[in-house]
Amino acid sequence: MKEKILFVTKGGENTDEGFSYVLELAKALNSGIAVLVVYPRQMMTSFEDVMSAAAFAEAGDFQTVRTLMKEQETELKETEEKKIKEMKVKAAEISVGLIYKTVSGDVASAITDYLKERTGIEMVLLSPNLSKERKILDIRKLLKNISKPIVNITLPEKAGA
Amino acid sequence: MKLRILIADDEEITLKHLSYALGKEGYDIATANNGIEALKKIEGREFDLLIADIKMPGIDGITLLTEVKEKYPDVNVIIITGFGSIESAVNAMSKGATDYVTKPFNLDELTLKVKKIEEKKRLEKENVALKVTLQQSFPSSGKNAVAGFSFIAKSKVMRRVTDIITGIQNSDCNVLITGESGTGKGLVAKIIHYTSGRKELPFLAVNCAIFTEELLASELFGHEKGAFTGAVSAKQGLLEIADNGTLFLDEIAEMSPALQAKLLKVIEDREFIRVGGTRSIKVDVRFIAATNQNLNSIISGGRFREDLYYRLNVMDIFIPPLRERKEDITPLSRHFLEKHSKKTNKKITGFSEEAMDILTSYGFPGNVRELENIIERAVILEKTSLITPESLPQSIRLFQIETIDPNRIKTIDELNKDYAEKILEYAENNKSKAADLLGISRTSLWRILKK
Repeated sequence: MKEKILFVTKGGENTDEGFSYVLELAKALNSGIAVLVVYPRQMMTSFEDVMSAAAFAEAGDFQTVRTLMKEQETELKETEEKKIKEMKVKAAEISVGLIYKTVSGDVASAITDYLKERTGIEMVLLSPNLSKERKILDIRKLLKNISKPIVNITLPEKAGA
Repeated sequence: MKLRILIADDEEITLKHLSYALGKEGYDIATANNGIEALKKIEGREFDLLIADIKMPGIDGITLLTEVKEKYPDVNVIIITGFGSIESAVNAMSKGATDYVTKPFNLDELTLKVKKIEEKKRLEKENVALKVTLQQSFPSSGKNAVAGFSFIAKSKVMRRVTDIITGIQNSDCNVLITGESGTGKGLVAKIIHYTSGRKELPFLAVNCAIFTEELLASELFGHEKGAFTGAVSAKQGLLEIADNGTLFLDEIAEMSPALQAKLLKVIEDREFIRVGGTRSIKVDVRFIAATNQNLNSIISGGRFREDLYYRLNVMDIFIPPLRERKEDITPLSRHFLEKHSKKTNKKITGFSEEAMDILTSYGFPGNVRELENIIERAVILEKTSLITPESLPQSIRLFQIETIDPNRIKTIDELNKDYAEKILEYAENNKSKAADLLGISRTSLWRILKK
């Protein structure tokens, strides 16, 4: 089953946000799914971790900074593997093929590079965890460099939020 | 379909006489004075029928017959035998001759035999084309290609598409259809064929993305026996089978550069050689190609030949995505509801207002194919006489889906640059003149072009 859909998501706890929609679309189009998990440049996402690392760095204790970053990286990796496994199982349940790749860095560049590798992709679906984060994904840059339709998956704003 | 006939006889007068008579019937005639010349000609190009005298210098008619049947079994052979020579007639038939005439023969009798062979060839070709057609299915519908089809085009943008299709009804031009995946490019290709002068002739399709380069070459051009491992017999390709008909090349952008070059040659010269073959085969095929990719950017990236693009793009048809023709969602939904309700024998007569609202406000990144799939699924799940929101996929109710097509969006700077470049070209690259025409300074022009 050819992978026509590219699902791009941020690594972490909500890697699979929006995946249920991707699954249904893939089934409707008789397509496999290529998942691209991107870790944006800022590896540290929690404010406390960033402040701790900064404090240790100021004190010259770079070893501790490295250890803190390594710990977070390991935690993220474990979460990613768990999420990917769950996504694979869900895809297999409805006979949809799934492949994935993990990268880190600029999201728009990662998507552009991936599309050069896999020319059979027909559309790019962005997880809500990317769609809402304008600082992480420069849509303008993406629009300049790709020619496939981009599908933004977003969750409606909660009433009263 | 003009029958291609080779007449081999060492008697000049017989050659001239037969040439003239059969040429008047509209057949494509070639002649040879002896068996060796005849064999050379058959090796050089394709013939449907060989009429050979049994007695010729060099190699006689029977030896010629044996050679031809071994190498080119599809060629029919009529042997001209001597007076009273029943034995040689029987011998010829046992060696694979289709028919024989005895000298002195009646021209009308020979012409009748040729016409029978012509009819037989036509039926064989139709049969092959029908078999290939029945074996094919279009990815867009997943159904047998000979099934009926309906075309819903109520929106203004789609009426432009139907206007173009109507406009080219009497034309034989090649067509390039573009549009996102699931917009119905295959369906439009079929409609173009079945409303054209070629509608009684084969319509064949091939998806260029699903084959390797070698397999696609074999599929399109056919192959000779022994052309590669596994080629245990000669095989006609789609180009031969689609002769006088239409060949639909889906996902043309996936074709390798090497095959693109070969395809260009077929379009320009109207002939080709089978894989592993040496003889050129003439064909008259109308090409309809389709792609969901931006061919201009693929051409500038060097992955698609510009000359092939212009040969295929004699007429271009762009099918807009479903989100740009929302007026078609309601009639399309009703059409698919009727189709799938009949199939499942369910009495579902329509949609609840809420369900139709959900459908008309959804973006359908998968276009018409996705819509049909959603309706088909809803018909299976629905237990009432109306399709309700609960039968529609939960995710399209849960998420907001917005599709952006980069090919349709330009920034103001990009639009300005495009326009400035056009004016500069008009001004023959004279920047002062271009700046004057645009009413700006040279420096401003330079800044726009630099962006």
